[in-house]
Amino acid sequence: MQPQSAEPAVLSIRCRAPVAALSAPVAILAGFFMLHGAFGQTSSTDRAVQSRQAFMDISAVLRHPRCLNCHTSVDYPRQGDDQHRHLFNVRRGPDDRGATALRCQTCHQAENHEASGVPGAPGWRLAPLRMAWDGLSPGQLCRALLDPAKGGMTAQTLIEHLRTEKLVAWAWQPGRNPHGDLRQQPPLSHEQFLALARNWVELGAICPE
Amino acid sequence: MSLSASRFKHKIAEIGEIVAKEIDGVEDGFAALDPSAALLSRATRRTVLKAIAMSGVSLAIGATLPADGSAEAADESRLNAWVGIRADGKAVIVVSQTEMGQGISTTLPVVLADELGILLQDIVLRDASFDPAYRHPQYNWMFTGNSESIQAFYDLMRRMGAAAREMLVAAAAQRLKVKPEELSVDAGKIRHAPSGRSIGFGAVAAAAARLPVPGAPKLKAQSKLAFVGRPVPRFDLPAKTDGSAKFGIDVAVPGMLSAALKRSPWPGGKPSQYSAETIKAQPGVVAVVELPDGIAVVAQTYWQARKALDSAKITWGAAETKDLASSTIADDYRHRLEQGPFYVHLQKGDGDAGTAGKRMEAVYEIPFQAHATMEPMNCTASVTDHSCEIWVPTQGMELTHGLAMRETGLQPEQIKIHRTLAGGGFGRRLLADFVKQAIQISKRVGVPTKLVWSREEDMTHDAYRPAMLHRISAVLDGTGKPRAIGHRVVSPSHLLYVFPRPTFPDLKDWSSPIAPPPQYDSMAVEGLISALYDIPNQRIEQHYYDSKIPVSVWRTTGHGPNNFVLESFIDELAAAAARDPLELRRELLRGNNRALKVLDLAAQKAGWGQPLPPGHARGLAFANAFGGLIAQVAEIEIRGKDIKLERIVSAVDPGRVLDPGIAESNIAGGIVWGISALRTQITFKNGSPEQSNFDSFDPLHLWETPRMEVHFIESGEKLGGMGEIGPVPTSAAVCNAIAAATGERIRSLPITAAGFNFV
Amino acid sequence: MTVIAFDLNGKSVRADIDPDTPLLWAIREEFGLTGTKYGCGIAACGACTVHLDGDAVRSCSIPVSAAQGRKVVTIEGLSKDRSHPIQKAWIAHQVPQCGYCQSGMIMAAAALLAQIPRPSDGDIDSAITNICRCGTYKRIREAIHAAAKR
Repeated sequence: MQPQSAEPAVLSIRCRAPVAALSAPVAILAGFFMLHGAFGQTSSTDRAVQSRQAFMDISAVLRHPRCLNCHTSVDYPRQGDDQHRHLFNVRRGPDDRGATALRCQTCHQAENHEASGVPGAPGWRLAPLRMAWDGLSPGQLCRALLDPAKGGMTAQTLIEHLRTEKLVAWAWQPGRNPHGDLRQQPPLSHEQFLALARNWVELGAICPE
Repeated sequence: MSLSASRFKHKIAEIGEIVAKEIDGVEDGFAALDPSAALLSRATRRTVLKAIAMSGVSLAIGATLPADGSAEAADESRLNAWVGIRADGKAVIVVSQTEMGQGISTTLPVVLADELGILLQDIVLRDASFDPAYRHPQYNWMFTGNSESIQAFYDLMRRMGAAAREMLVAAAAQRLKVKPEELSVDAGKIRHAPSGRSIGFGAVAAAAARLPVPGAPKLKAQSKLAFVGRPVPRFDLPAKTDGSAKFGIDVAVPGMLSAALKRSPWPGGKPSQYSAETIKAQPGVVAVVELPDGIAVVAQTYWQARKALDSAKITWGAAETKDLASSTIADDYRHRLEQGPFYVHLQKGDGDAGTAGKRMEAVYEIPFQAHATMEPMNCTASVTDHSCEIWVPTQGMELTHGLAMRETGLQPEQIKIHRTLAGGGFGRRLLADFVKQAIQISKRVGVPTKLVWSREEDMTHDAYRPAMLHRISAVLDGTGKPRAIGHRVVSPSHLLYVFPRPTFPDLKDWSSPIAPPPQYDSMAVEGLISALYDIPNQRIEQHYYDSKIPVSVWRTTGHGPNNFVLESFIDELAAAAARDPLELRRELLRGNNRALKVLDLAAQKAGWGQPLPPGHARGLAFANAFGGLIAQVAEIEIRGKDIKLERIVSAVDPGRVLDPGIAESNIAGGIVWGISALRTQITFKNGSPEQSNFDSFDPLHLWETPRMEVHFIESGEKLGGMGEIGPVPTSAAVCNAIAAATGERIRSLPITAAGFNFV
Repeated sequence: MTVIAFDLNGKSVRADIDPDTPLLWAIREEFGLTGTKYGCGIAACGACTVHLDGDAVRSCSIPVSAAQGRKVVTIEGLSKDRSHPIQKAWIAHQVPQCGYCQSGMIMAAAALLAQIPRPSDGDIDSAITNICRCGTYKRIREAIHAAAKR
């Protein structure tokens, strides 16, 4: 079950009445295809608008707790759907892999561990501070991603990263918490997310304001 | 390949192979603990070092060998219920009290050994079985708790040690054909100075055991004691640093199976639907046992049992307790605060209202708390038609023994209890609910079974420190000093499950709660009745709340919450009259020199009255608890709602300090407990606790622990207990500091409810 | 059931065991080493801390299969005769009270010293997050500093 996430404004620009009844991600995709189908070639202004819109959609994933909890701007991770500060004084440490004597991998292994509720994926660690995203608007986040000093990737290599990085993929297989409840997944599936990300790039990787 | 068959034998061999080597660097430890260590004239450091290793190993052995009499060597001559002497001269001393971290398994044997006249290295410890000889002299009940072990057994240990010494001397006198008065005892040897002859304890032990036990043995003068009053290296510590110390959860007996248990999420519910067949089909599972309020899965290993149980779908029958929630409980408490009925524990002078003057009043709320011992509840039971053998970390030996008799119908001598080390007790292990379950399971499966509660089971099926609601009021004189004080407390009885049953022989069911008559049931107002402030008019009354949530004693029990209320309120009175909190208390304690000395020492060491940087504040609290006096000053730094605990200074007068090292560790560790109590709580929803593990019940950690200084005063008054007094004033000391810094008075715990947190 | 083979305290061991069994319970029940303790099962308390290829890990949260071909050291294997500097300091400073948390505490402290021979108070704060309900933290800190000076 995927939670509703897109703002109503998105629906009203792109979709006519029949689409409003669908869940948001379907609506976004439907709108995307409708637009291309209906209008064929689009003007550069339209492309910019669409590109920005595509980024707004994927930012709903980037700003979801499963991503933001490790893309922090402070010296600790967050945890949980409520994004509370990671318990037990867990710290970023000098290399984003935990304090020297309390490494992330002291507890987080290469796979989710159902018995203890501890999540896992290969190379569990914090994103480096230059990739800190908390507190950023979608526009700021977009520019950070494309900034060589921050994201350190081109738009193309970014897509590759989103496709292949295990820690990214983990967001869609986050496992159960210690109380047996499934962790929430981002509002789009990994495939939808990648499709929209590619679309954003194809439309010029334009950032919202 | 599992080692299960030979695992037990393997462990004994391993322990036997441990060689007592010297541990270099203990010199540093002694210097750190006690500069007067050089005064250990009879026990050189070397011998004490050996004692560390040897004695620690002995206790481990005592806890793991089966009770077939092999623990008692054939060459041991018992001189009384507490001590026997072996042919090699070693003294086998019985540990009657449960070792749960408070160090009692060192201190009481040392008291006896000191009177006996033996070196620490020659002590062999044996954990007591259940026996009337080891009952608390006043309650006539064998248990460990309420900080009473030292008070109950100190004199007895001295007399037992002295009596044994006199018997050995008498036997030596006969052997050497001299008068007993000509003999002296030192380090396990009896010397006849005039002739230069001496004889060791071991040589005369058998003869001594045949002599009558002296009724009034002569105790040593304090100046002649070698160990009492000095820090002794604890006997149990070496094994606790190398993994060899055995707790209840570590017990392994031949043929044993393991069990995991799940009980109704709400009190009193019963299992309604589950598939025993599905569970039994899981790997390693041997049996599924339905208990009155839960399902136990028995398997080859605990993990197999646990995994099978966790994957089972169980539905639970409804009970009225399913509606319990913190909000409705709180409403009910408030209703009772107004409606009563009330039992008056104390009425003095004109009570709380008969005096004229300005009146102040406040209502304080204290939440439920979980014990959360690091070792979850567990018990291993082996029940046959003619015997019941139990291995358990218990504080309640007698309650366990009585329950076992009732559950099995066996005779007292057919019940054998092996008490293990306890990974924390705090009062929880006084109860025997987990013992009852283990017995029932073992009976059903017909083999020894170790029942282990998961952390979740443990935290959600605790017997909680109950919530309390407390209206405190005072009538003030012109200077702001209280002339009348009133306490109205809404609280369940804490004694429902742990009241000494032999006092009420009609009680049949040892696991069902029963409240003693109210004149004996005053734990909910302890610390109030015994408060030392000179307030001539007092009324202390309690509504005994009928709690559907199981409740019981918890480290500090009534003293902790009541001191939080009283000492916070005293500060409120001080603030209202613009008086210094220390100065107001000094006036209220006027004439009580012992109390003033404690209060003044804490204040002086904390630098009370000296200026502090901005954002810093101090808070003070004083208590008369568990037979001793304590004053504490908390120094904090506040940034917004973030509290940094800088330093906690304590002054403690427990009458005498038998072991300064152990005493300090109890106080410092207790303060950590007290600070934790400011931010943890158990809340209820749909009949169940909302907290089930340490991710939601967050005790204090190392990085949050302040600097602590503990100063002792030995007034020579009656001995007090050390296990619980430390945390008693901590809540008020910290909250008084918060009030001093922010002007905000916390009346409702935890402090997180008001947005505060420790950093 | 799978055969998992690894080095346990310097000895080669094998177990035919459900590979999902948490390493903690394999250590305790399969190999009978009860020094490593169960406190919470969710990596929150640290009582289950062991060393895996030299790194401190919380063994309740790793399956035994993760130990395949690797080196596991438990409290029993930290030293012969309690000679590790941490163990000596623990005795000298009389750190343990009930002792249940101390196996994990000692393993965490030993791992800290292996990484940082002279840890600061801040290093200790970050590394020692194990829970102790008896509250032995004051002496733990003192003992770690003392052990570091050896």
